[in-house]
Amino acid sequence: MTQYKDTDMSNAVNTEKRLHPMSWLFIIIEFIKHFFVPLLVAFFAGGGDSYETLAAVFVIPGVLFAIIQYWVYRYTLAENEVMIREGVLIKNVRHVKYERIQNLNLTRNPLHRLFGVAQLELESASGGKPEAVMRVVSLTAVEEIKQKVLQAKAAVHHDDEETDEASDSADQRPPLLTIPLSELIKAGVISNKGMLVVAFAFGLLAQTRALDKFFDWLEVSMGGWFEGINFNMDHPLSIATMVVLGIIAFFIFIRLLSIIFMVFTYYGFELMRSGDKLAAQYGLLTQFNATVPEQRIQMVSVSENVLHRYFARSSVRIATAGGNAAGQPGGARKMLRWIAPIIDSQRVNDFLAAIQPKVSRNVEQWHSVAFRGWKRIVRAQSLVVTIIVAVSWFKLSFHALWFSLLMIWVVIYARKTVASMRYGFSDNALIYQSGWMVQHTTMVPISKIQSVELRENPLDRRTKMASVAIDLAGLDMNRHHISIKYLERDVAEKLINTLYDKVSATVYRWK
Amino acid sequence: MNQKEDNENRRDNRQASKGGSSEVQTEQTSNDHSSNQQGSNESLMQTQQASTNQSSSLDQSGQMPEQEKPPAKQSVTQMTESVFLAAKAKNYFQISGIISFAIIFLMATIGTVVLFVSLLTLPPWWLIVIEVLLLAWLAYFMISVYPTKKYQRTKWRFDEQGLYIQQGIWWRKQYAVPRSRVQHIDVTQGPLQRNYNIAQLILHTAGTMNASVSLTGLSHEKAVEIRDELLIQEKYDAV
Repeated sequence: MTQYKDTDMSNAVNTEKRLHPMSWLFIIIEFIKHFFVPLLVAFFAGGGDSYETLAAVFVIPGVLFAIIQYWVYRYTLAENEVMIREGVLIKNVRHVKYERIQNLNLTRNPLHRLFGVAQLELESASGGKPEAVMRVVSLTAVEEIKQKVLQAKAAVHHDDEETDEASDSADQRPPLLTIPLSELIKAGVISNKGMLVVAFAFGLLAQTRALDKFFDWLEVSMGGWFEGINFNMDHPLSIATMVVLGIIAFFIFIRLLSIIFMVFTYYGFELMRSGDKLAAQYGLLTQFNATVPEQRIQMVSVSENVLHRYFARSSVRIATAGGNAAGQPGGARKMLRWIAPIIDSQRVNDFLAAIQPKVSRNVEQWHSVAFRGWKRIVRAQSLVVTIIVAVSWFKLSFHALWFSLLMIWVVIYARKTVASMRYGFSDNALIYQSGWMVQHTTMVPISKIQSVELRENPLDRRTKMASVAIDLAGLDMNRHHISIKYLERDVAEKLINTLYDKVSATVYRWK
Repeated sequence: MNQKEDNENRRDNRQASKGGSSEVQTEQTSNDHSSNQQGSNESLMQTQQASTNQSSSLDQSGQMPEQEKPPAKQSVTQMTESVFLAAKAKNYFQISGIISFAIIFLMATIGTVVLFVSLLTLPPWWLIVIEVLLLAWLAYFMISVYPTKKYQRTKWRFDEQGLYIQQGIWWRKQYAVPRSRVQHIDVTQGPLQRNYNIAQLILHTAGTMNASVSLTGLSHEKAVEIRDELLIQEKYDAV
């Protein structure tokens, strides 16, 4: 066993490479991020007594772990595969073929830049975790790996496609999309990303008991601000005023956070095409580099909320196979999801044609869903309104009945929403539009559809309706996808058969 | 193949046998494809090669359709209508219903006994009646109604397009999985299922919400047939 290992080592010794010497620092930081934040929070919230014990129990082993990790991590760039060895007790050798590597994700925060290094993630189409995370390698090493992967890709593609000569000269072409700072600020105003920051901050504050103090402070200072105004908190009008003011203040706060978030995340956004791949680069402090082969795009979705439309802007999102980062701890792993965080609505069509030239988006005939579906939304929402009225009755007595006016809104919302839902086939794609306030258009090439599903829940059956959903690789169920509700039963039946025929007639390609 | 050439052939063969290669002769005489032979030994060898090539390609073409449509598999591919599961699937559903009910019954009984022993009282008679009635209804439902409904509501079809499944009693679902999207296939059989010669067929796709679509209650032979056919097709896809 040892003998084998020795000979193996001697063979590989001239090609085997280590991570960057500063890697241990980044491994420690990652270690701290994953395991220490909750611990530290608990520790400081509990009142910091046993500082030294904590250090002895967690920090020192952490540092040792990082150094050992750096010490044992080796990678070899062989002719057609990258080989990675790691582990102390459980040794792990992983071979990844260059041609199987779908994505090279590069992350650089200011610390990375200080040392001239980057964190590199190699992704295959397998989904879940990346095949290899190199934390961290020097930029020259990154370039070396990139070259190997690109060469292998080019070789594969020259074998089965002759149309790929453009890949070398493509870098000179202008980028598909660049986003200036002014646009990013607009994007911040439009987006709701600030909510994420607020939710995160609240979560953190709640754990450290700072939230109570914050509310105490808020109460005291609010008392100061509103001294002059005599509020009678029992009067519904003053409650309403407070609620409205609170909502406005919160809204402005959120927008500010959103702007900060957008500028930090997408600063210097640049999307370029090189050959059959799309390469994006963005980030203010932490720079992010991602390449996505065009074939790997499973779905494209354009969304516009009310503010988008006010500014005549849109956002374009893609779903890629094997890149479903859901369930990743701390959202540490990023990927190119918003291929256009903000784009001029006029340019959307050209942009989509540029990222997916082979996919047609011309729909001859749109089909709408059963309009009577709005009654079902009203029925479901009236339950919610009833609960709101019932709960607020305790506080407001008969004034709670004002909330039943929400039903007007519900009816308008339901009718507009159902009226906005429509779907249609282009030559090689299925397109689904829905939404009234927030409008979504989702396009899926037929060849990317994995399976088709028709659903009938008890309510569907009572109203003789059904819904049809399509399944994709890398589908994000929380976001807009093709799941068409409120179809007439027979229409749904026809649709699933049409889709089945169309999908069966195509072949799915990974690359 | 005229007479003249045939005669020439025979002569050639004789010459060949004189040359000492009796093996060639016996093979050649039994072969009908030796039409364009010339005079010399060399050409004889060439044609022999050609004829063996021909016969081997015949062999291949003889095998190919057999692989594509083996007689056993035709019954599956030629399905035009959705069909019910194997007849024994109903019995299997009933048995699993009985087992599930037995577990619930045991838990309910033990729970009741433990509760009243710990309270040190006798349960009121009406509580016992309600519990017995509830359990009786549950038994009727789990052993009779549910398995029958489940059997009636489940239909499947496997044809050139792929596998089509409809199932569900209250939440009804239909799945259409095209052949070309199947990544890999499982056929599993639990001990109870083996007793009824029933299997579970699981098709895995690269999708997300229906990454695996499963159908329980096919006869084991059918499940294996479908699996084998998808495997053969995968082989051709790869080529």
